[in-house]
Amino acid sequence: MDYFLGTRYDATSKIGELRSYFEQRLCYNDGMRFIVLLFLALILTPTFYTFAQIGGSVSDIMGENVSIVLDPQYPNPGDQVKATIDDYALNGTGAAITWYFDGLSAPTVNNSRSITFTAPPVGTSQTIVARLTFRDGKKLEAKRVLVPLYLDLIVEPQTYTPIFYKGRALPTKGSVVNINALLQNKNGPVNSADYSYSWTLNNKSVYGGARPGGNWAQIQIPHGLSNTVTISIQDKSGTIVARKLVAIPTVDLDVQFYEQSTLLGLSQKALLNEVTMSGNSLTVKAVPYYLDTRSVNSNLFTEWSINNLPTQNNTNDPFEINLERGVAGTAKVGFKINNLAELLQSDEGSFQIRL
Amino acid sequence: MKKTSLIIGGIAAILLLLAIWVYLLIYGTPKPVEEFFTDFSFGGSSENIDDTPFVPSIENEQVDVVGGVPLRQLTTKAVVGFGEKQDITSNDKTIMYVEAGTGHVYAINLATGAETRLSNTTITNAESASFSPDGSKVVIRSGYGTINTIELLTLNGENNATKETLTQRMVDFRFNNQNKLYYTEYNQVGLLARELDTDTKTSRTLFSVPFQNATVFWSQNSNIPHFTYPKPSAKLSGFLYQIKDGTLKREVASGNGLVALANNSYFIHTVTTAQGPISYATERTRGTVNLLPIVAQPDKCIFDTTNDNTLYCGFEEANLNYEFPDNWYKGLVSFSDAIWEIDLNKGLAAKLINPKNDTGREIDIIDMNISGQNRVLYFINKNDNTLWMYEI
Repeated sequence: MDYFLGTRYDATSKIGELRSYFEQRLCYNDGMRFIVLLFLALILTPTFYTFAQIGGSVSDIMGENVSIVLDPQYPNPGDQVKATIDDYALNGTGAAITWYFDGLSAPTVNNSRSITFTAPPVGTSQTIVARLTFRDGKKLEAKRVLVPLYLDLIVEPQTYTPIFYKGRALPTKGSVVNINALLQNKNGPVNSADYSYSWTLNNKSVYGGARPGGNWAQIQIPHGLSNTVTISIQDKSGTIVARKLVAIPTVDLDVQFYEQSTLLGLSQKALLNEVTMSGNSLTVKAVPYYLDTRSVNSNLFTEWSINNLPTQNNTNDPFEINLERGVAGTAKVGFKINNLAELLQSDEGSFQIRL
Repeated sequence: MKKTSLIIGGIAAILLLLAIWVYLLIYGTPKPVEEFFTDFSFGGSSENIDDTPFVPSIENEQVDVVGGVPLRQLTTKAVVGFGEKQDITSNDKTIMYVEAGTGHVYAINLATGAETRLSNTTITNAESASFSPDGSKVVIRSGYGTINTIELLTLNGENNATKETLTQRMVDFRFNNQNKLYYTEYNQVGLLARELDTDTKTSRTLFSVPFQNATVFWSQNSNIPHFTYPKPSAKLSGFLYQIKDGTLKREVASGNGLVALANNSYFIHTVTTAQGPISYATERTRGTVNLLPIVAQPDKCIFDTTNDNTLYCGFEEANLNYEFPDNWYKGLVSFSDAIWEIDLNKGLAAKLINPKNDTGREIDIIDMNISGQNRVLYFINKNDNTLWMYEI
């Protein structure tokens, strides 16, 4: 048995040698043959194999049957990280667990199989060790070294918003989105040429594989409520240094109306339900939020209507209408827009005008 | 026929006539739909719009700036930009503003209330403006579309201004305290932040941002770095970066709808969560983070210039849903803000005034600014773009 307990990486070959030895010595003894077969059966079972490994030195066996799993796997600095002991290959139940951060024990989380901690600052190394002490006094350690980097995925939908809008555009079905993977160490953004970037969209590779310096991707949004983009970044040695996933929402085209006045400028309040014409005329702008920018100057169908009847719009700007005072009463002013290149990009809106 | 039947019939007829009379009184004579549409004429092209600005017959007006009431409306005109300057000789403070639409520039003497027009040069579709701190120049964007022009006005006194068009394609602009113009412009992959000397027309690059949809929080003194973050949306993640030595340095602040502002000691950031927006104050030296008792929207907030621990904000105690700030930027929702003073050191907020209670007006505060010494807050009411002041 001592011979096996000293075995580690080449245990299988040693077992083979031992099997040959017994076969040479005892192959003609039927009584012993049974014992040999029983013995061989025992040493080939996983349980036996596991305990054989426990007999090795702690540093030698680390990581083979116990490890620390992080969630997220590649956290940003300052992220809350969940560390869990993964010891599926051995029966660690009942073992005392001690956690160490950079060599210092963390007694408050002792005996917890999962702990949560804050990832260290950018570029700072942190060593996390979980030591399992079994009832028979034997010990086993798992170690994980964490060097978090910032990986920010900046999503830039290529859809329209007006100049006064301070927010970001959002993607509509069939529109294009630019995504910038900004990887940063403690000195700031890294030189993207030193890394390879693998992009996937809904689990399909965007560019067919990793691209050196490819920190920027352009994708067309498929139809669906949400799409998932992942980025995996490798350094020149092929080690993954960061990985991230981002869900890209999809919204509908959104038409809103704004009053434009020579004296008051463009109102920052949308015309919602009803507007009263106080002067002799009223100029209204229809703003098609999130319209694919590729279609702004072409492939567009626009139509103004009064009480649901289409009306000619003679202005140069198809998104603008000038209403002049007529008789008293109310009317419903509507606007419809279709991107002829992408029929799912369409919307119509209306408001009541009181004369 | 019985007598009672005659009486009942008569009463019914009277009631019917009465009902018809009431109907016509309220709704008028019915018209055919076609006739209605015919009368509802629609002007032709935008060329038909009379762009001639309205010139008031009385040039100089009087604005009520006399003390006693801390909250006062300074203009009835819509305003797209304003700035305060102090006269070196008289020490009088003047608030200057650019009228929306026309681009006319006015000045209100805050001691006397006298309003004078500094520029009668019409800049059509004036969309936004920034004054130099010395009050000698103002930059105005003309146009609401992607094709617009940036005009530089040099103000030489009453009704005396010279105009020139700047050649730079500016995304965003703002004068700094050295009377130079900070601005951003697109490059192929992102945004370039530059500084323009409006006298010599020379410019230099300050830093670059590797994405185009960026908001820049411009620093006004050398102790405070510039900050930048992707334009906010409740549906997309944002990240805060400090500009250090011309490059981006990530701050520990991120989240959907992220917006931020900073002073020498703190940066404030607000993110949108499932429960609505939440604001945090991060002490920049120690990195300690505290939850703020109100939502601090940069457009509605300004730091005290003499006390780093104090922040003033417009804020309405309302349920801000997960669509904020997108729906507010679109003008789909508006607020009736109160003005709050926040002690960042203690994490306490005190309501200074609720304009609706005092004036009956709902004020949705934007472009919050502060006077250096007189402890005055200036802001625009987004609901009608009028300019207001509040003496702290």
